[in-house]
Amino acid sequence: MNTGLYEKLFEEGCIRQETLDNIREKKRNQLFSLHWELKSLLYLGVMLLSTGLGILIYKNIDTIGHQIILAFIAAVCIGCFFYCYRRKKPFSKEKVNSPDSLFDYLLLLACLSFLIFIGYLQFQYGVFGNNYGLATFIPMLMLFYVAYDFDHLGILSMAITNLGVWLGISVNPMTLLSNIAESDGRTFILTGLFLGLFLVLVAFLTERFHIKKHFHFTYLHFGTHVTFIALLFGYFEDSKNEFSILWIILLLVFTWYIYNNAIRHKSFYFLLLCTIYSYIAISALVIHFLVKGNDMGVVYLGFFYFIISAIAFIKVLVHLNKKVKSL
Amino acid sequence: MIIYNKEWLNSTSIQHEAAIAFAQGDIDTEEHNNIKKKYPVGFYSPNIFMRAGIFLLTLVILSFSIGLLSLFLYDFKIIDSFYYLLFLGVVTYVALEFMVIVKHHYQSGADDALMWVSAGLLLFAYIFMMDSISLSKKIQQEELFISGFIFLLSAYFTARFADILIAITCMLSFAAFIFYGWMEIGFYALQTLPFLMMVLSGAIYYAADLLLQRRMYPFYNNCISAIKMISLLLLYLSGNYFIVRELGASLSDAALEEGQYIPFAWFFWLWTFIIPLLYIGFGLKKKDVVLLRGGFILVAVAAFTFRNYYHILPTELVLVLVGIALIGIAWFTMKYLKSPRNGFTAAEIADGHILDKIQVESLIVGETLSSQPVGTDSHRMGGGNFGGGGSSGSF
Repeated sequence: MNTGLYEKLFEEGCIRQETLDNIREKKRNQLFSLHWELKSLLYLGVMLLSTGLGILIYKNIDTIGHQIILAFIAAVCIGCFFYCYRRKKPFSKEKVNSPDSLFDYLLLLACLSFLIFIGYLQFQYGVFGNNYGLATFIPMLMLFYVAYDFDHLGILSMAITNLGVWLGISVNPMTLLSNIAESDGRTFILTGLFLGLFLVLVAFLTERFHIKKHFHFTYLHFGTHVTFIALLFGYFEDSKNEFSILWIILLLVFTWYIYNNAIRHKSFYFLLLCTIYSYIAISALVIHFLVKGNDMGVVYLGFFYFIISAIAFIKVLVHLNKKVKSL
Repeated sequence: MIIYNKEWLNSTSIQHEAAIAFAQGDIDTEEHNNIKKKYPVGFYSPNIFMRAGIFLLTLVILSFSIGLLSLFLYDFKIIDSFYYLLFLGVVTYVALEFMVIVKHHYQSGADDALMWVSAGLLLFAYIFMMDSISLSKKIQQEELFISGFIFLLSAYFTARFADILIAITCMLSFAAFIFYGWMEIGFYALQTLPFLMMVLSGAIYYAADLLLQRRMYPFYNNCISAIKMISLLLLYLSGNYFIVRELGASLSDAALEEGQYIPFAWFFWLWTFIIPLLYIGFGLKKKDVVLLRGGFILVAVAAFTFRNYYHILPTELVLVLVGIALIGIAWFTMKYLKSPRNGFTAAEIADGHILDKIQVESLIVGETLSSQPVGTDSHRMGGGNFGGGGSSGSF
């Protein structure tokens, strides 16, 4: 930024005298922000520390150092929680801004070390016995509590992930894909569908009852991906049956809901998701019909389909983008 | 030379500045609208999601179109020759010029895709041509010719479209060209190579810096900054102990034994450690973000280089200690800069996309810190997170 530009703009009558003076004044005392550098250092530090602790436990699990390691992790966890608890603002249903990024990352470290602690207890002493569900359920509850009480989006993401773990599936789109590919399908797909719709419902309720409205995006993000992927794989699983078209219809209904929701929130991201997933679904359907014929003509048709549909897809995207902008 | 409407390019940069100033509260809505009206932009350049989407879709369209064409022409036996690739490259390039001149696309994804595809096709046409002409030449010379061609091609594309990634390609291919050229003709080539690369990247950095300061080519500013950044990286890497040792060994076919030293080892070790610190120091002194961030990254590279040769502590202990140290450094710096000092602040300076950044940040945290494989029955302590997977696992 140079003041020369603003002087020119001032001469052209675009900005007022006082604005120009303000900008000049600001330039003279320009501050250099180390915000993102410091934040990255913190993030890296938390990552390395928690990874290192994890490996440390993994390697020393058979030696005498149990109690010492356990005590160290507990100390990190309690220390961080204590620090955050002292500085935290009271709970509110609205967004509570965190005091600073140090708070955010120490809270993250506290939660991570808590998870390691629980995992260690279960592994070494079997405190939960054979109730494996309980061993994931308790950390999940804890994470949700922390996410809401301390108002932390990152921990909310972790809590949602843990909810998936508790149900036996992963909610991260990429991992979910390989998960479904490996497993036998049916139960996975139904669980995924249930979880995805549940998350979308939570997103809806979050907004309806004004409880932490800014959590809406995170819930909807995970919910949308999981639901779409579950629906698509439901279709692929049943693609030999006649009723598989039901999956596609369900998917289009869901698309319609997300579409309206996205328009209401002016969110281009969700519009993009809608178009991508429904494009995949429709293409799958088209290929399904094309494959039934098997001469060279079908191959040409397939090529034509992809060229034309991709052009149409771009047109739709451009149209939606304009629509969101004009809202 | 540049293909875009220069007035619009100028307006784009002014509007960009104005948007930042508006987000920081320096100008009000009315002034912002004045500026927008005064400097209209006719380009089609949508947001980043759109750009990515259009990029991918254009790739789909291109590959299926080329596939369809090849299918039609399959019987004519012309698709094996390099003329066919050349023809495709030229057609794609014409389409690119059409999109930019007639449809006014500017960083829209469509032009990016066409640019890379046409450059790639032309390059492959060249490589095929070389293969068919000279089957007997030495391999090293082939690399020399290819890097030279990439340099010429990307220099043209950079001049025409001012794309950042292509500018970086251009600079790297130039460095590669010099590298292979020196290997052919140089005096004690292998020993002098690191020093040559140091001088070269230093010179590029200096030239780019000069160009930026004199504002000689305002439309290429982004490209020049990118080149500046990459040349800093190259400058470091050309003296990094690991690179010098391993690359030198692989080029001279003389495998170095473990613990065997290379000539001037002390110099390269010094270079490995001093340069990152110098970058950070100069970054702070000149308040240059590129130097500063580059320095931070290179400290990590230096640490990895050291660890590759000397194992003093087990990995996990290093992780824990470094983690604690990093958190500590960040903590003290934040405390120290609680109120701004010497023109530095730990607070965020608004630039309009904070909300997006926070959302993205939360997702990164979610992805990297809690993505655990589920459903396998090994215990998952390794990733720094208790994944559980209890429903099917056994502890």
